[in-house]
Amino acid sequence: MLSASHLTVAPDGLPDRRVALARAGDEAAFGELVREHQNMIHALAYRMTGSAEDAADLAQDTFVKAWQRLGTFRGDCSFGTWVHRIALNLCLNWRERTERSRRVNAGLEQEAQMSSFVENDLAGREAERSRRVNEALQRLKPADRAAVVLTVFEGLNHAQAARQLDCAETTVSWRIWLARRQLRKWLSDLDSDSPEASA
Amino acid sequence: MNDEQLDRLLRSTRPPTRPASYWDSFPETVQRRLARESGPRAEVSPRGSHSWFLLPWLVVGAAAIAVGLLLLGRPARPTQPTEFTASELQSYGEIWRQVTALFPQQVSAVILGPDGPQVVLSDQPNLPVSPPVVLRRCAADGCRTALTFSGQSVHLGNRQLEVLTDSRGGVIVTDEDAVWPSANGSLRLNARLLETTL
Repeated sequence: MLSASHLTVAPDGLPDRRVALARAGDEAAFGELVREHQNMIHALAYRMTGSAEDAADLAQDTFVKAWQRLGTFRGDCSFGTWVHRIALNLCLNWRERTERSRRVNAGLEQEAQMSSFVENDLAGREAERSRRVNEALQRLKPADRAAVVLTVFEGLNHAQAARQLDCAETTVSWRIWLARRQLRKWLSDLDSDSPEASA
Repeated sequence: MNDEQLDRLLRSTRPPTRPASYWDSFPETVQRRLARESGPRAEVSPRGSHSWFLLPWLVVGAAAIAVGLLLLGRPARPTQPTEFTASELQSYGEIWRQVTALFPQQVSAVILGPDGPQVVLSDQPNLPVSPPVVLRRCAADGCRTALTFSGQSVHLGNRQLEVLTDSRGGVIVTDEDAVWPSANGSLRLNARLLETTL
């Protein structure tokens, strides 16, 4: 799980020298920034899409966009927070773009795609649990899912999540309440106290 | 399953692992793409020169909008809402309890309809604590249920409804041109105090 502080505080409170270099066109400095934040962005994109392949594409899109927009980065938050926000917006727009085609191909195709890579990596019950949780997350509305991903998986509080989502804190609370209600219904038969869930 | 258990269940799933070589090469992959995309981007023709290409789509879009407007223009046929069942009332009571716990003294109404649940909040947590009222209004596009309390104004479907309770626990609902219950058939809804079922 990612640390909330990673998203909200610049490492030393000072402007990151690599950002300044990257803004000046230094590709190596930008490469270092990519390396530092690539895991976080991939994890976010995976939670938002439920697809390893789409997550990889979105992570690339995120850093390409970040490079193109570096001139607009004011430095009033960490580079990590800024690039995370870019990724989040891309994920939300990605869902809007693909929602219709996904609905048409709902079920089997997505399930096969998810289970193929999850089952390659995890075994047995844990794979099934992952598949079910992933499937449930993907059934949520994108904005509700984003609220859950930011607070449950990334450990942000509601105020921090609201800033990332550019909405009111109460909106985040409401979305989480709605999402939890749905998730509880869909996942009620999974045992949250099993060793896998406690790990 | 409480919140803590649900969160633990969600967190028990992990993103798929990728080989170290993927992570090692990812920054270079991004840089290769940047190099690839920086060239052709400058060569893209102005969008306006290809606007003729959009014409068929504009025609299709206009036709779709016209059909949509025709469908929307059909006279609405309000339908009679059914009586609340015991399980519905129990569920509404639970929803009201949870949402008001989440936003104490801020919940003006919770609307449940075809578009999913919506909550109407006041800016400040200064609303009185009152017995909840449930009301349901059905129209041609489906039924909507509001959980609210006396003194609130609720937008339900295309109607702005004022909700009041009398001293005997009866619910009175009014809009611009009707009072429910009344002989006026233009406002068809079902309402009752919810507290008695909690």
